[in-house]
Amino acid sequence: MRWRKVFETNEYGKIDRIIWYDQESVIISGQGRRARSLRYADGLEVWQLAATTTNTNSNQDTVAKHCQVIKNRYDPGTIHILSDDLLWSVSSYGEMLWSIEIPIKSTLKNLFLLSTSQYVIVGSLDSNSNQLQVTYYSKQDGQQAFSSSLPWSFNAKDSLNKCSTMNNLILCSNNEELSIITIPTTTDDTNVKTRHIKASSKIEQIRILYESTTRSVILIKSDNGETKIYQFNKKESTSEWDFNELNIQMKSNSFISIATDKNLAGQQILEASANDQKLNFHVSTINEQTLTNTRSYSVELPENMGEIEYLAYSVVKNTQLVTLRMQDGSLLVIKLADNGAELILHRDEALSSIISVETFDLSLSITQMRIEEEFGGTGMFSMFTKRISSQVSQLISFFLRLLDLFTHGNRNRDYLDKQAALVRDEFNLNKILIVVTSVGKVFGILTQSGGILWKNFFPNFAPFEHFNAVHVPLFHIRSAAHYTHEPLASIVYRDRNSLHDTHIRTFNPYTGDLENNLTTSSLPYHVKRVFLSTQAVDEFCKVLLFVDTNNKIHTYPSVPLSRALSTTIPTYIYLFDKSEQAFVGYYLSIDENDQKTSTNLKEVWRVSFQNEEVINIHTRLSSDRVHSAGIVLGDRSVLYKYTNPNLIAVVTEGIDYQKVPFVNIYLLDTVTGSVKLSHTHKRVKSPVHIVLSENWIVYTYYNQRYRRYEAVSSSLFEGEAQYNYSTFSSFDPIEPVIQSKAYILPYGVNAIQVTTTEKGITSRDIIMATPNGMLIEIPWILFDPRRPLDLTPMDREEGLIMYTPEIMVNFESVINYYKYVYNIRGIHTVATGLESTSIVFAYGLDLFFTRVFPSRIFDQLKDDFDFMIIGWSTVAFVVGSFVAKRFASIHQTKKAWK
Amino acid sequence: MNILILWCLFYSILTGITTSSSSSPPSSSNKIPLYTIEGQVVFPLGENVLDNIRILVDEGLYIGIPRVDGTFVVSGIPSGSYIVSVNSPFHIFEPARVDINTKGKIRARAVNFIEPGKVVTMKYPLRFESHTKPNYFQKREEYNLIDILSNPTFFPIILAVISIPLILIFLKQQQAMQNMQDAPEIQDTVQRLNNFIQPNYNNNFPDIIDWLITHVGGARRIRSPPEETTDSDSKQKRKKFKRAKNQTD
Repeated sequence: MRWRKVFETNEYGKIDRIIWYDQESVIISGQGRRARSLRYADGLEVWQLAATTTNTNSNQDTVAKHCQVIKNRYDPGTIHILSDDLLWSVSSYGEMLWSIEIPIKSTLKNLFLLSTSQYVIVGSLDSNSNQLQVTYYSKQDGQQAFSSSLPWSFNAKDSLNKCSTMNNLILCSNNEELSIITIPTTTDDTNVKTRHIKASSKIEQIRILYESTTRSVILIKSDNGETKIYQFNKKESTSEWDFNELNIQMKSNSFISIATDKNLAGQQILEASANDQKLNFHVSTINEQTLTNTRSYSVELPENMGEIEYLAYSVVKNTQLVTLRMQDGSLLVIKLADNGAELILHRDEALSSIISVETFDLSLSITQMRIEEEFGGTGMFSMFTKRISSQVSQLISFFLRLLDLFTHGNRNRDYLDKQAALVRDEFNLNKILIVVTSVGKVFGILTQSGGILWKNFFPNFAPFEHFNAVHVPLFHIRSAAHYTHEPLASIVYRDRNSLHDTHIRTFNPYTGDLENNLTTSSLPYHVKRVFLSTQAVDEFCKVLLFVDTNNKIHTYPSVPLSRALSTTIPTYIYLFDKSEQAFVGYYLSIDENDQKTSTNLKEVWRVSFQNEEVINIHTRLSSDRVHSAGIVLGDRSVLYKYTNPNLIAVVTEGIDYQKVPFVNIYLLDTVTGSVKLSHTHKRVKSPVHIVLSENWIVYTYYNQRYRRYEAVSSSLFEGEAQYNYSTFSSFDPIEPVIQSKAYILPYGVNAIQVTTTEKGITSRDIIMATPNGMLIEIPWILFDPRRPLDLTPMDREEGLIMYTPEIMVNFESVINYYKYVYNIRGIHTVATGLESTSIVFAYGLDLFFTRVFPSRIFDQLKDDFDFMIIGWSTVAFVVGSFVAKRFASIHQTKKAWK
Repeated sequence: MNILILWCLFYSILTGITTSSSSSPPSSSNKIPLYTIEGQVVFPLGENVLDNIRILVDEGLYIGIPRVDGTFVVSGIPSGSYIVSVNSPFHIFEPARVDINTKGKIRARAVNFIEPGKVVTMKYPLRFESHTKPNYFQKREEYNLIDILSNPTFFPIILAVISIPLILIFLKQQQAMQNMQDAPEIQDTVQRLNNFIQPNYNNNFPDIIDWLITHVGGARRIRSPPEETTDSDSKQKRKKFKRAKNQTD
């Protein structure tokens, strides 16, 4: 890749159209509000222009902001942009030619933009009189020349969906009819001509394949799968067009693209269709009314990529190149040559749209398994025999390996290395990341290399909505701990076409192979929420529990609820009711002998929010471990933490009676429905990023009043005494003591997360992704709400740092060094077998993976540890002591002889 | 001087442009004018830093791309207060706050998060210069003799190293005196001193070499037949025999 420029994530960075020139390209973004030109050579900007005014009121009309960008066919250096009520022209040299405003009303919408050699023509729909006003503006200075109107039968929304513009034609589909409206191009000719093409059934789509000043090709697709291609030729010295149908046989799912080249006589037309794992191409030359020289190509794809979503065919220096975007987000470039088609580029662009991440431990190696088996027996004798037999087998395998090394040498080294990559290492540092992308492609990624192990594409995939984001539940059905059984993971998603249907796919995370027994596409109920059972049922597998729209709970696969959930610990479930903005808590009563596989939920509490909207919730990581129940203070007394595992953080947004926007943060106990913490922040802007762990919460927001990013940290404590030493219950009458502090952040925040370690002994670090591309590791001690304003010796004894409002970020704490990552949406942290080490995986537009050591590497040797010096000095000491002993004895005997 | 005049000229042209854009009054009341932030990234000649540079206005609300000469333009911005930061993995640039008032007048000032109201004006159009490079790496700790010596646990060893020669000299003198006088009290003190310097731990902790000789070397010499011992062992033994012979000779 030569260069890459990342635009804004908001509306302003959304690209409307790119116009390609020889040396640079003009990119129109922000719904026709900005034009910038970038050089191909180095990606640097040549010029940038933007509209000089904008509307204050966000458009709440049904027709969203609409923008049309056209390159003037008669003057290719001029670009006309129509953005809602603004019409402006720029030249490819970066000169703003003119800019005018065309007033719009709710009944008057600017819809079409056409251009001729003298005029820029805007078609605006007046829905009061059902007339299309066609206004002519001078191409030179934007002065309105004249206007006319013609009757129009579509409403504004339909007009946008069903109509296209081409040269001076407006093409509109009306059920089985295509209307071709010719807009006159000169002032002396004012009559609008309309002609019709009949199709056999309802027209679904009109696409313009090729457009030039004298010739155009369009495609009409009907809903019965019939596709027709029409060729338009301009009549000499008039503004009218002749058209004729091209005789081409097409499959219903095929795509068409047309390329021209100076060397080619006429245009080449490419028809492409995807068929399972195969792409078929037919290239022909358009010759008057028929196609000649048809050549067929086909290329085998490495995996199933679904249908074609976008196709572009181009001839560059006599090389025929086809660029495709597939349904699974893959970018393909295929070269067509005389000896057949060849796939020259394949990129999985889906990886930039990850929405769910889970990690799986790798499988145990055979020797590790044997060790597991060795300690598996019961009874003295069986354990003894197991031990002996396993040790004998270890010895045998060792000799076999030696023999293999001598006979084969390093020949099958590659194979062994590849095998070793899939086997758990000594400290369980390497894992498999399972990522689900929003297009429905699931990847298995090895962490040590970043290599993609397997991919699976689910074509009818649609994610669930989760507050203001999308979400796909991904579960460990069976973990890698049961080495005798393969591990299993499940994803739950909705059907793309009928959103009430829920699909469950279960697969082996090492290979991606689907487990068909646990895969279904039809659940007889509408799913509201899904979660995993607390207990394994058959063969160490957990089951999925679904709450349907009638608040009934089901299991999949069907097993009695008493087996899936613990009968000794009561089960509470909370749901969110979006229409009432309320959290509702339910109690699930399970009888031990009950064999029911589904039951109704009983409501026990309800927390509703008035005048504020819940925008997000945040739960703690399931792997969160609390090692110590309290903090030892400077005077040797203990401050006990309030570690309630049932807490969730709720973020709400609203506007108070003084019209001041506010954001509220609550900590809600999901068992009792009691609110343990509530903070109000006025003049604060979301997004609010939250980390909830142990007994503390850290969240960040943007303070509009002081125009800075801030973080608030709160800790909950039980106090000097602990209510119950052994277990925690939400029903215990504990009022947590809350301590809070706010801090100023030096950068904005895209995502935050806390490091996770196996036992939770290691201190915590906060990993923060910033918009400027850094991943920063900040010790939680800097966010500690107990940082004192003036430091007493007792605080120093405890190791507290004095409070400073700003959190200083050192470049040494940037964990991605020179590899900046942009538009990070989430960070995933996992524990490893080493207590000091936590794995960090940041995903978004870019992916980044590393290991962090929040308390330094206290359980490892440094990687530059000099084994040779230690080894040799030990040997030297042993030898030296022997020699010294000898000398000493000689000395002794000599002394004795004296 | 020339450059300064040029800058002034540029600035006047610029203000001309911005005022002209604001002076074209919006036709309806719900129109708000948009302005442009301009500036330049100054970098040493010959260094190709522009490739990785992004100009972030308010942490990515608007993003600018530099031109070949380092100048940049971020357009389409309504009036307000923005933080403009130049961002590159290889260089550090100080951010600047740019205030655009409703009439389109632009001023730049230093970013101060703790006191947002404080005004320390800066030059506009903005000029970003990098004086430092980010240091992402901690210096690896290396073995340093001074470090080892300054370690408190090393102190007794240093003391011992210094004191042993002194004591040896002292002992020599004592011995000489002993030879001359053969005084029993001095012998006694010498013995005590000797014990103090080289305490005889053998009573409590058997010397590891002694232990090895008696248990490994000694025992095998008696019990195990010679063919069971390994080569090295027998060699050692032979050596020992030789040495013993030498000694007896």
